[in-house]
Amino acid sequence: MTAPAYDLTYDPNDVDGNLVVECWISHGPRAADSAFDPQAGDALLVGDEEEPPLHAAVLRRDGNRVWVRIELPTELPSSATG
Amino acid sequence: MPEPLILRDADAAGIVVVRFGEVTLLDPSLADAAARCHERWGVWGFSVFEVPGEDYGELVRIRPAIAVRRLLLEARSRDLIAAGFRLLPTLDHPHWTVQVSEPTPEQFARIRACFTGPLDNPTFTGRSRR
Repeated sequence: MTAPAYDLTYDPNDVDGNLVVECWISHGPRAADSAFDPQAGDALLVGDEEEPPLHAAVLRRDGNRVWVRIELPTELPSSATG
Repeated sequence: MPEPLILRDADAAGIVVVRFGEVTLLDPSLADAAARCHERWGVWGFSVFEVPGEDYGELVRIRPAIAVRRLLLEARSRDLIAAGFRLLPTLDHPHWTVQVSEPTPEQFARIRACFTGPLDNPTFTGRSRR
């Protein structure tokens, strides 16, 4: 079986100005993976069907809901300025 | 239990809203978004960003993650409102929620009719598969 290209699906329209977005394990490619147990501080990949996956860090988790901070490629703006 | 739905003091009249991604208005994406919205606030809807002053440069300044999205779908608030949809000023500017009465393919088709695109994201500077 091919490993999924990313761990969690994210909606680009839900990413806030601090690059934080809530993801649902149940809506992602590892929904059926019982070994997938993201915890605060873990590094993983978030993605969707359209663009390359992005690295992200888990901030917190509440059951099925996982909040991550996305890491943008270094050539891009990394944070909001206002 | 849903969280309280707290709205900003903002007027939806005359604004342009955008949803990033080419497929994010298809039924599966809207159904996912509507489910998350309903669990959070108890209403069906999906997220969009206002384009402040129709200036995408300002939008990428306050939402830098959009720079990795190659395509977008755009709508004018007047068209959404005329079609019967409410725009709720949720979370922090420039976030809005387009409320739908029910998460059905019929409602999603009416939503799609209000949007134009996919259009090139003028702020795109990220990597692309294509």
